[in-house]
Amino acid sequence: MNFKKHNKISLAIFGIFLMIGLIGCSSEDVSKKDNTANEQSPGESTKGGTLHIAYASEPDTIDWMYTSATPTRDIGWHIFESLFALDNDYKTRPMLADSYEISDDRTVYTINLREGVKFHDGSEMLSDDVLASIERWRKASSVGTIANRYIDSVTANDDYTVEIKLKEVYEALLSDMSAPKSALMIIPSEIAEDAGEQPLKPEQLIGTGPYKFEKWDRGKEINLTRFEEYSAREETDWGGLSGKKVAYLDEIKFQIVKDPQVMINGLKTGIYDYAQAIPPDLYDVIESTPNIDPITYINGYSTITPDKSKAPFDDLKARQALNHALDKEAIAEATYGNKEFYKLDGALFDPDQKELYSEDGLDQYLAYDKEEAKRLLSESDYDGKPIKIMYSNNNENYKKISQIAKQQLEEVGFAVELVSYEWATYLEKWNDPANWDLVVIGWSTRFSPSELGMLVQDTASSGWYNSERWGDLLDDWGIAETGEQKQEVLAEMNQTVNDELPFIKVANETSFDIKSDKIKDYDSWVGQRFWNTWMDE
Amino acid sequence: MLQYTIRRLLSLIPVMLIVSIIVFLIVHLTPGNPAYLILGEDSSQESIEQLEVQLGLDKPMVVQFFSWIGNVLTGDLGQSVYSSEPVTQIIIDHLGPTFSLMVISLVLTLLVAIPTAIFVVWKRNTALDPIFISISLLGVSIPEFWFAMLMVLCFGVAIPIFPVAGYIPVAEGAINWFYHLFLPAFVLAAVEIGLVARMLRDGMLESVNQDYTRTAKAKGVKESIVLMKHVFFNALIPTTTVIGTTIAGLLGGTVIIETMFTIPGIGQLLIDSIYRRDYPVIQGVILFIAAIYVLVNLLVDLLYAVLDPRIRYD
Amino acid sequence: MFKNKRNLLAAGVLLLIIVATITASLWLKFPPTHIDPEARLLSPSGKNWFGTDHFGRDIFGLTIVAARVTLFVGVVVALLSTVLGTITGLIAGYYKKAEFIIMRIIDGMLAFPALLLALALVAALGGNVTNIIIALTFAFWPVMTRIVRSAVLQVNNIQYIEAAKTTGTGDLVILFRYILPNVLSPIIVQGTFIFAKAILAEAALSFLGVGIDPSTPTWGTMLQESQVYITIAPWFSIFPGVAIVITVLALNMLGDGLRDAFDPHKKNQKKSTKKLFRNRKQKYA
Repeated sequence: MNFKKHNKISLAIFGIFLMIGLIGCSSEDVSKKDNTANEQSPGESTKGGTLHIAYASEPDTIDWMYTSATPTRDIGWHIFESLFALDNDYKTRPMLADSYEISDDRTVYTINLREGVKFHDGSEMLSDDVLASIERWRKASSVGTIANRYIDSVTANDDYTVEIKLKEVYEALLSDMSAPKSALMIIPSEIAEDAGEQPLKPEQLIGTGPYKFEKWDRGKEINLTRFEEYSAREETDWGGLSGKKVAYLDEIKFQIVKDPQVMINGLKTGIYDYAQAIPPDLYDVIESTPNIDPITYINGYSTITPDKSKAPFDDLKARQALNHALDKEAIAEATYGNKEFYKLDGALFDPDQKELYSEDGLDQYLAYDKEEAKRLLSESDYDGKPIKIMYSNNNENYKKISQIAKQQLEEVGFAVELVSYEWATYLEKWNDPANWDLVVIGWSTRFSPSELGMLVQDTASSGWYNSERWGDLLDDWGIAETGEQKQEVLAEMNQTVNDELPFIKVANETSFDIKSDKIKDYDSWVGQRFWNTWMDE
Repeated sequence: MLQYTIRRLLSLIPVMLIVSIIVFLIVHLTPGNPAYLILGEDSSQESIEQLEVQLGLDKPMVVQFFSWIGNVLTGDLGQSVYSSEPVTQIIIDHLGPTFSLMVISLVLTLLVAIPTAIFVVWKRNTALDPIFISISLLGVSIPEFWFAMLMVLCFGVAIPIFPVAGYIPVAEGAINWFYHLFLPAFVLAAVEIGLVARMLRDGMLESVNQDYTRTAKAKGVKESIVLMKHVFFNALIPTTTVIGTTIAGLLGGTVIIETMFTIPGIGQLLIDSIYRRDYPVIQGVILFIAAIYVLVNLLVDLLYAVLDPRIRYD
Repeated sequence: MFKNKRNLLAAGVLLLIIVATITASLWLKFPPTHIDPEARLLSPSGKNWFGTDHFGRDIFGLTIVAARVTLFVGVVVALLSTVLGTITGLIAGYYKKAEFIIMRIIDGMLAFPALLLALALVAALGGNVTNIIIALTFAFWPVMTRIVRSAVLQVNNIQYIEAAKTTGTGDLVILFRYILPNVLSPIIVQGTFIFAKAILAEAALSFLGVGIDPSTPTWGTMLQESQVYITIAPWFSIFPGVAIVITVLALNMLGDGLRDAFDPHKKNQKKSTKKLFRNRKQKYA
């Protein structure tokens, strides 16, 4: 460590020059920089090293099946894998499955498992484990419960073959099974049966992934270590969550850090190698900082979800008033600052997701009109009692959206109170409608309509949304086979959300992370994954 | 001396009793049921009632207080709601960084304050004195966290010569330990320096006007020697009390400084626990800090009594 | 002469800040809480003297308006602590029996660093203006009690008070007509210091994110918000901080000056320093 001292002095001198240099070149176009692609490093990939990640929000569980929370996903997908997984272009690929066949009437799926895949506890993954995991998924996962309606039976033909029989045609089954949230992760059958609908306890976090769970120091860090007996696939060009995965790192530590400035300072001093959720305003600063690389990737969108189980937002008029009161352009601009980091688009999916994106049915997205909002509010049942906007103080963006929303809502006659909690507490508070009227949150990129957590009926995450129209559309989605049919359903889905306003979309988000240049061959995709990446010490 | 010590020790009992009542009440002031806090809001009525019985929450508050205090006296501060670890262990785990930070900033404070005070007294009849007074007032008027922000801007961003985050245990190299803690310790000390130097100056000015000083001067002893020998050492006695108040100031400051510089001490633990509504830990940390503070004051008083025997007849 | 000028200056600065913030709506060019995404993080200029913040708000105007809540919290905490501290101090100094109980409670409360006590209370009560005031009052009034009590003990055996006692004058009359005027000066001095410390403490609590909610502009919440932008918009962090320093410094100077002005033995260095010591110790106990 001592050699660092000398470096500091030269760094200081360098810093002064840098300051001078900074003044000249502070405004560059982000889009010109290709910072998400793989960087090809000339050296050989080497094993070893400990990766320290400054992570903003501590998950309440790492059970990737149990919840659709992003912090759970980001850590969970290192430990667990599913039968099918998304590749770099969001296409479904086999992962733990070796191959599959669909019967001619499209109701019987026969899945052949890969042989010799080991769990972290040393046992081999067999069809029993898959059966138990699917069984749990049908009950405990918000995606699984939707697929469950179509599933007739799941049986094992032998140790390596599983057969799923459907009650009726359900074209979305494969995409549901490859959903990267509330995922159909395969765990040993004893654990799946034991856990049932409860989240896995830390000692039950046994998967087949390239990294295994080591320990969880609540409030401080979550440690993963390399799984030496990992059996990788062959395909090197699939990317995403599929294909070949190599665990180069000895250890990954997700350390809980709330403050972006602390993250940046920590990256500079080398206590962290990667930091997540940096405010886009700092992009230019990061770009010009030596040894730190910016990472950007699409990351779903920010929303304001009203609690529809009680007054005032059980009344559609009040929700329309809310929608008209919010100037989304102003909110997005003030929140994200840099125009490269947000897109004003009202659709349920991202334009990059060509098969899922529809631009129809979005007429109410930018409906900002103060007078109309006042009129609607006076016609609604709203009684003037303060409404509570709840947000997590672990994320700068949602804090800012909440603040601006408060001001805009007050302008049309709402009385507003802001409440904030640290992430885990916030999730807890979310479950009780007494704690909030509006919740501000971002939803990371989704890959199927059944995965849209903010629309899962009668749950806290959708603010107790209850709509027959939406339920019917999910059914339609299940049988839509051609691209054209799908587009029709998607347009109608947009329209439904527009009419019923179960949530108010703010804007598509581009996330901004930073990494040390010691991390090589890193590919951002839609979230942090640290296999196939290595450290140059 | 023994009698004084015993009397002083006995006086701790009511103080610590009040301290523990306040700490106990902090949790019971919170709206809502602690059992809800532990189990989560959506848990069933039965499991809540069961836990209430288990934790003794169904009993009257006085009974709860005495069972809590009984546990505290055996070193059991309860269990964290968040991590389920024993609070005592959590506090012990976070002690090292805070202790290191306190020691360095205390030393820094005294290293700067003592020479400054001597210099100011030496030049007491010049314009230096009112300037010094103004600067020391300025010192107590600057918000610590804001000063820290400016320091990070200067030495972390503009001229990055000091690390602005992180902690390295002393066991992993004393130089690195000091190097990482220097900036936070300096920020912490900066506020105290003005205060301590001012108190020292006042104490020394008092002895400057004492008879023995005048006698020494009349005998033709050099001014600097008089200052060092008579004035300074006499002023040192009241300075011991200064150390007590300095430690109090530093204890309060560590909460902010540790959070800003990512030092995993008890200050950061307290803030994190507040964000997490982890009341047993909040309770434990506050009680612990108060106990340390009471103890430091006790030691200071005893030291004072040793140095200045008159105090015992107070 | 220097001291008087200094006091005058301090009082003048405070008055200016108070008048400026109260009349802000009459003369500020821009409504300072208005969000303007087009004008985010602009550096100081002729239009925006202190630059703009992350919502495009004018920092000069915001700093002026933020003074309202900040000063309100400071004044109310100072007043409440003074009233509570004076009453308990008078009782403790006058009635021997009450003294023991009151002073033990005070000793217990003084065993916490004031900021930590306030922090724990806000954590328990929840962060809003009322709770901040409650928490800070709770943290600061014990110091006042102790000072008032020792001042009462000093005047308690002045002849005319002794005389009043023997002639059967009611306790309330003695306390408020004879004793209180005699101990007023340390109360005013300490009240000024509490005002200053309450401003610093509110800022610290808001900065730590446990204080007033971030949409209410106070100097503390502004600094909290500014932290992320310190490298790209340092003005956002600097100006609200300077506002705190100026205000608190003015209050501290005023308190320091008042202490000297009230002290009849000022010429006698010995006495005044002793008192200073006592006060210092109490102030930070």
